[in-house]
Amino acid sequence: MKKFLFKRLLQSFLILFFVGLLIYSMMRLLPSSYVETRARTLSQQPGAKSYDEWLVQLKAAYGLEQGILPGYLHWLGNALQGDFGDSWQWNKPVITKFQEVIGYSIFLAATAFILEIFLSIPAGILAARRQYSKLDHTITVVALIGISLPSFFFATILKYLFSVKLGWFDLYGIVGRMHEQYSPFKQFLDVAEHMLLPILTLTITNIGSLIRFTRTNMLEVLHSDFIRTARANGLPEHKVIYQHAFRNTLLPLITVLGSSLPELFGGALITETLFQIPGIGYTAYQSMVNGDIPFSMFYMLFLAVLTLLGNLLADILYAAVDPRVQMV
Amino acid sequence: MNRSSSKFLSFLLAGVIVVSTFIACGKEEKKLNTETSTKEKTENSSIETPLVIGESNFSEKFSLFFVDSLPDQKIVEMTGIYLVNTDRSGALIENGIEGETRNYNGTDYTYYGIADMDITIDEAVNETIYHFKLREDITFSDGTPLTADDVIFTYYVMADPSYDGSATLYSTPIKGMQAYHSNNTIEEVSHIEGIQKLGKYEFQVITTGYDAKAAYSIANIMVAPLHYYGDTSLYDYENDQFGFIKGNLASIHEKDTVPLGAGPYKFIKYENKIVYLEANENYYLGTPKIQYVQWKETADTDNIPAVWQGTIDIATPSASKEALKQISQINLNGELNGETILTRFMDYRGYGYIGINADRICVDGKRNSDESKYLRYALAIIISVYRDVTIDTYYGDSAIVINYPISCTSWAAPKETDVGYQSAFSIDINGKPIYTEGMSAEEKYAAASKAALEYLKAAGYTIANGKVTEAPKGAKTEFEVWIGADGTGSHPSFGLLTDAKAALDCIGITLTINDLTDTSQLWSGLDAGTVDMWCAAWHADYDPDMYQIYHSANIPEQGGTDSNNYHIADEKLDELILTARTSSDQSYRKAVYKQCFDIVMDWAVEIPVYQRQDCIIFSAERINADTITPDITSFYSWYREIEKMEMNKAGV
Amino acid sequence: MEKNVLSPKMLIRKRLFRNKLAMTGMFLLTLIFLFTFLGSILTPYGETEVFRTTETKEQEVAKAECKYKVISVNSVYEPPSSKHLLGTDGNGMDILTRLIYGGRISLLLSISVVAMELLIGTVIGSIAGYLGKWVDALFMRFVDIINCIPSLPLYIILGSIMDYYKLDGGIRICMLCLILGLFRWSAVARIVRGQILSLREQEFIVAAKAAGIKTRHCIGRHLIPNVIPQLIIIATMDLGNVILSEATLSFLGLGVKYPYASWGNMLHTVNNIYVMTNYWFVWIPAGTLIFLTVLGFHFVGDGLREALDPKRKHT
Repeated sequence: MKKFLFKRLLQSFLILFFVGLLIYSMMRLLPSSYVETRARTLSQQPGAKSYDEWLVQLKAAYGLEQGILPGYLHWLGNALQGDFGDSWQWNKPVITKFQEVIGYSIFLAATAFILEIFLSIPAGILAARRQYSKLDHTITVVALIGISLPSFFFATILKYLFSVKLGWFDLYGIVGRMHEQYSPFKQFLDVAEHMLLPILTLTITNIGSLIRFTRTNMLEVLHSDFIRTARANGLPEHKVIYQHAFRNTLLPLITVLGSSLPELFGGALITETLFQIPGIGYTAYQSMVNGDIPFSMFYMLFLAVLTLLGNLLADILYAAVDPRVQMV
Repeated sequence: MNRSSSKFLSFLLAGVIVVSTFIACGKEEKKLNTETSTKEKTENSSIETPLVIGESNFSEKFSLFFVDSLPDQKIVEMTGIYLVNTDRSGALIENGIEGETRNYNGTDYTYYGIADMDITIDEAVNETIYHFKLREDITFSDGTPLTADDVIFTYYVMADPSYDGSATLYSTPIKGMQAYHSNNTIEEVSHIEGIQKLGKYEFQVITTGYDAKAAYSIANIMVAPLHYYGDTSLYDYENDQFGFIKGNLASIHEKDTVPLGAGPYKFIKYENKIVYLEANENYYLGTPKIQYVQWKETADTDNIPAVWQGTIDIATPSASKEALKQISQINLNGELNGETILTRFMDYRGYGYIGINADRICVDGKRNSDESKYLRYALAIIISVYRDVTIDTYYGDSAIVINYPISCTSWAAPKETDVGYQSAFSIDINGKPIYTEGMSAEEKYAAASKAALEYLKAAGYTIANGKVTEAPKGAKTEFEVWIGADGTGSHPSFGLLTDAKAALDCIGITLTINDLTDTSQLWSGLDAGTVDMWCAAWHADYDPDMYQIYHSANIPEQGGTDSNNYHIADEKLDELILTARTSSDQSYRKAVYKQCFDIVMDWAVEIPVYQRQDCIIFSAERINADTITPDITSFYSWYREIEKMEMNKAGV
Repeated sequence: MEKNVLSPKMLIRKRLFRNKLAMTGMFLLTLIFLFTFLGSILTPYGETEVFRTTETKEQEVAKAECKYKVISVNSVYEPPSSKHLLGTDGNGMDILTRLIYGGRISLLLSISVVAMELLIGTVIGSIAGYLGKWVDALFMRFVDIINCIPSLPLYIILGSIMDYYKLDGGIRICMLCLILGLFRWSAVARIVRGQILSLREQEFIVAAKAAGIKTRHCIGRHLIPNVIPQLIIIATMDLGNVILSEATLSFLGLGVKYPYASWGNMLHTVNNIYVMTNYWFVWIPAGTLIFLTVLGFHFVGDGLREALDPKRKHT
């Protein structure tokens, strides 16, 4: 086990180095770079320096005169010391901006995640157990609706229903207008209240595929021989389901869940935008589209680390759940 | 791996998720706890309802020096104050201290400011003197008095060689400015001759010659507090020290995210996508009636439902036909002004157009030959005939088609009732009007195609059976037009060009539409001069000076402003532009500009498309309608009189 | 003794046809395919044809004798009528026609992408899972790298490159296919590998190996068929996902660009409450078609899965 972990960690560092280089090159190659846009805006003022002059000045100021590889190594050098630089788009240190926005995204994603698991797994199992019944059909249709329609759809419908028509919630935003005048506890409730609709949106969007996945896997397992044996042996049904059948559906489920770890931190771009949640999804998108290299590099490497971690975790759990699997 | 360790690992995973959730919550709680509400009033426990305004996303550059986005600009204007401001028509208010009464649209309005300005033109020595006298009782929101030193400090920051903000003071012909700004290190230029302090509340600025635009660059600026953005210990007027070290604006940049000024509101913080402001008791026109104001980031499509539902009270949605229908639907009376929403309109300060590069669309490389002009004119006829249907479809009443390359908000814009006013591209090759009164849309399109063919023939194209079969030497039959929107075809000009493309196809000309996702590609192409035709919009300045955009010296890569993307180079036009620039007689300038427009239209390098209106909506339920600023214009925004605005007391 | 001996293939067919739900699914899919591929005969309109109508507009009496002026506008958001069976959209184009043409693109796109991701993913995943050791490690690390590369900047860059070279619609869609497929196969590979890892230790494989079976045969004849149920699940889910991903990418200029239609970008034109509540015909038809397609694939997929499972007790 230790040897396995050590090997994987070593490999991960190597991967991260190359992924970082790839990402950095992509950012440098982006057409709408921050510096160029800035130089253009500045050069359009009457009497201003020309675009080319501004470009040279800004490139020097932002450290872009070097080539791609030296630029990357320079960035890497700083990063390893914990200095990720200042974000160009947001005018403050990358880490500061990141800390400001990551909290809400994690809260949003984690709550939705837990809700999804608690809703979809039992639903999927139920549907599988009562295959072809009305219940199965209803659950399947609900799941399929979730898959067929994009997230902004549900967001818009929820906003219309619960905010405009019923007036229960604000249309968007993370705090209400009276927020500053509340006590700290009431402020917490205010934020939670504003998170309800976004969490609901995320849950509805993702629940469909999890239900389907669980259901199909359960169906597979339920019809296998060892389950039939267990039943024939007189084992109570709930033990059959939860001790034997469910564990075998865990395998693919774990892979799926492990790979969704980056999503927890990646932020749900569309949902955050539609509900004006100051989260990492929207922030990162703006940074990338505007060519803000420091912030984007940090964010994407952060996600890369999480992806690798998620996969590693999934592999370990996989081996844990299925004794036949050897770890590599 | 045995059962127990696997169970352990599963618990670990679940635990990680739960713990991170709590950490996130905890972080928020901690954050919330440390910001103990500054609003909790101890003496008066009435909970004041804040006014909430919807706005596009902020870039958090709330500095009057470095602001470069429109939403940020609004915050700067709410917290700061102008030395001299404009009236509803865009003219400067010269007697701010006593107040000036001017008429707009039939009503007399009195305007106040913090300064009196006198402009004296001394033709003998070819100088113009801008003399200012400040009110002596103005203080910034923290109580510090506003004096001439603050204005001079502001000037010197904007004149600094390392200044990279949007203020254009450094290109104004102030005496000594050029030398100071170029930072000549051989002989240190330590002050600007033309900026002179005359007393604690008095100063003057001297320019070489007279430039109509200079007044705006010099007077229509906001005053920054020296003690906050600079360092009072580094300020000594007599010894050429102006509050900071020349060439080093770091201390000013430090305050980019937290502005301070003498405006009606003071900046509290920017958090959770909301800018929080509080009334400034030291505001010279009186403490604003509304204590708390919030500017909340809002998506455009959310503006109208949010005002309806109650998340925000004021918003500026784009005034498309559908938006206006939506407002009418919400109001019970089916009108734009009802018991739920009130609507006000003002012209957008700018206009939409389609540009043509004279160097690329010409015959035999001669951009100013008659043949080239005929070629461009032909294309322009076809494109412009479809303007009406597109604008009517998308904007309905909230936009109009314009016929001259200038925004309707400018005093220099020709009006339909003026002598010599002509629809754009409406004259055929023989000098007769192409369209007659009462023609149906289909008839107009047919007439346009016919007239275009005549122009093409005159340009040297071979026509057979109503189609172009061959181009003359040095000309082509395929052209491209670039649109820089977001690649989704939502730009109204896209529909216009699609129609034009079909019509051009019928007469043998191929038009390719390139709908770019990335607008910066458009700008790069324009700079390199590789774009045939393009769609864009100009933002209008106060002054209609045409030098930057239409003078031949400013064609890209000639060392000028690089803004003359039309590549228009007409001697007479250049001459007229410079004449108009240096005159102070408005009616004379208006006549000269009319001549300029005629030349530009003759060259057929710009097809003016539309002038739209912006709309502002107010919640009739929550805002006292009588306190809304009357006669809002693009030069006099709704928050210019924000200190008078009141919320409705009942039922919020 | 004469018994009707059915070959495995015929058995599968028989089982499938007996499954009512699967048949419903197939029926739905056939209808949809017919609609999208043959429907163009039914509609007289072009995909991007913009329709005009007239409106009366009030104008200032001073300007002309008549108070009202007849102006020409595009027929936007017209409700369903005999002229336009499903009405017109926000640009004045006929919705029914766009559904037909758009359906072709959406269906072709999702089928090709899913086929690609399944093919590449299965091959790589099964080789990695079967051979194990350093081959597995190498392949999986490669998969890790692909997973770690963020798709968004890549899409943005590609969008600009395609703009720059002014590629036409057909090529853009092919590029779109390629990119979507390339990003998705890695997830499939991981799942397949996982399955293979556990299957490989089962007795029938050990027996086959002991009998000296070739790697190719082992993977192809024994392992992969056992992975197929998983693949079917992935396929049926991804078909819907790809259509939706394409819609999001349209925003970035990489998807099917205006004025061409796809179900995804037709759905995406609805992004505000007013249009959603007042012009149901703009989004409900497209959404319903996507839903029905996904439903159809789901039922057929389920039926296939059960039909293919030899362990199932089929009554």
